[in-house]
Amino acid sequence: MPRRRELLRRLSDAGITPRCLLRLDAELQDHYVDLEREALAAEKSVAEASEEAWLRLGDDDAIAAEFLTHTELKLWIYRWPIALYCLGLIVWLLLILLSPLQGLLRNRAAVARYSLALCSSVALLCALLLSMQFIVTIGPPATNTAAYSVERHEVVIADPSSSLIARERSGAVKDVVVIESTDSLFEHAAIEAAYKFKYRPRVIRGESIEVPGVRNKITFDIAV
Amino acid sequence: MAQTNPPFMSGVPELLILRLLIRQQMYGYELVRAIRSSTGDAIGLREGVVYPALYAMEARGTLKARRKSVNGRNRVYYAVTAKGKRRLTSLTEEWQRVTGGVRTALEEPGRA
Repeated sequence: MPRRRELLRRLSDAGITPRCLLRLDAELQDHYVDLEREALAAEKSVAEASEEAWLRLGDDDAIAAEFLTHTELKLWIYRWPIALYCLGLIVWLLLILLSPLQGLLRNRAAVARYSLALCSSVALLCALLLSMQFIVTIGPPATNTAAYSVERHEVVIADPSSSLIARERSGAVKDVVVIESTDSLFEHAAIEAAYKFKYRPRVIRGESIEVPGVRNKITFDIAV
Repeated sequence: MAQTNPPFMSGVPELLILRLLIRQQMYGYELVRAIRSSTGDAIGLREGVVYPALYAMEARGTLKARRKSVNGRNRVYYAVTAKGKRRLTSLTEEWQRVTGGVRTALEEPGRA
């Protein structure tokens, strides 16, 4: 089974713990092997068994969506981002107040007063900046903001022999392959989508016939 | 009146997993097969999604995982904890209350 590097990367970016990711990787591989063996035992070809195992296991989107509903699987820093900001603020304040404290200990009253006033101003400014950053970070999701760009990926899919998708008599699609794509990441999803297409069967002399020769371009527009 | 749990459907996989694992410990693939056969294939799911549910239940302390080597393959077996047994009892009661209510509503004459 090709390892689900993209899924693992997405989950890692979302803050899922490394322990979970390692286990998921191993267990998905194991599960895939079991599914493949089950399909082979049902006398399917290796290619069919592999395809069936992949489909039954589910695509990256389904697994990632399920993961993201469980916040308890995320690192604490992703679960309580406010804690990180509070911790940072405390460290800042400690560092800034260290200088006037040193002055006070040496009994240099004037220097201490001046430093305290200066450092308090800096501390307030930092607190303000950190609060602003926090508001921006946990504000509305990026997709809701006015400014975002769209990244476009295209996958052309077709039947291997005719360079076109073959249509079965029922109107279902078979033997889909990718002819060209701008990014291999989207090929699997494009193939899955193509198998869901349903065409009106071509009818000649009252009989529906198979139509080799349908090419389709699937476009993915992703907000980035 | 007992409080209704709005996303009660979200508790169904948890209920099924706990119900099946209380009988015997299982690994992921085995568990999915058990879900299919015990529900008469009524619940179809992408099999990979069972793992996040299992990890979350383990994080909440209702399941525990243990690695076991079987026929040369290293598998992770899941079993129900004492907390999981209490959770199963509560989920079962909640589910029976909800399904009982729905059944009563469906059987009520003149409301079809």
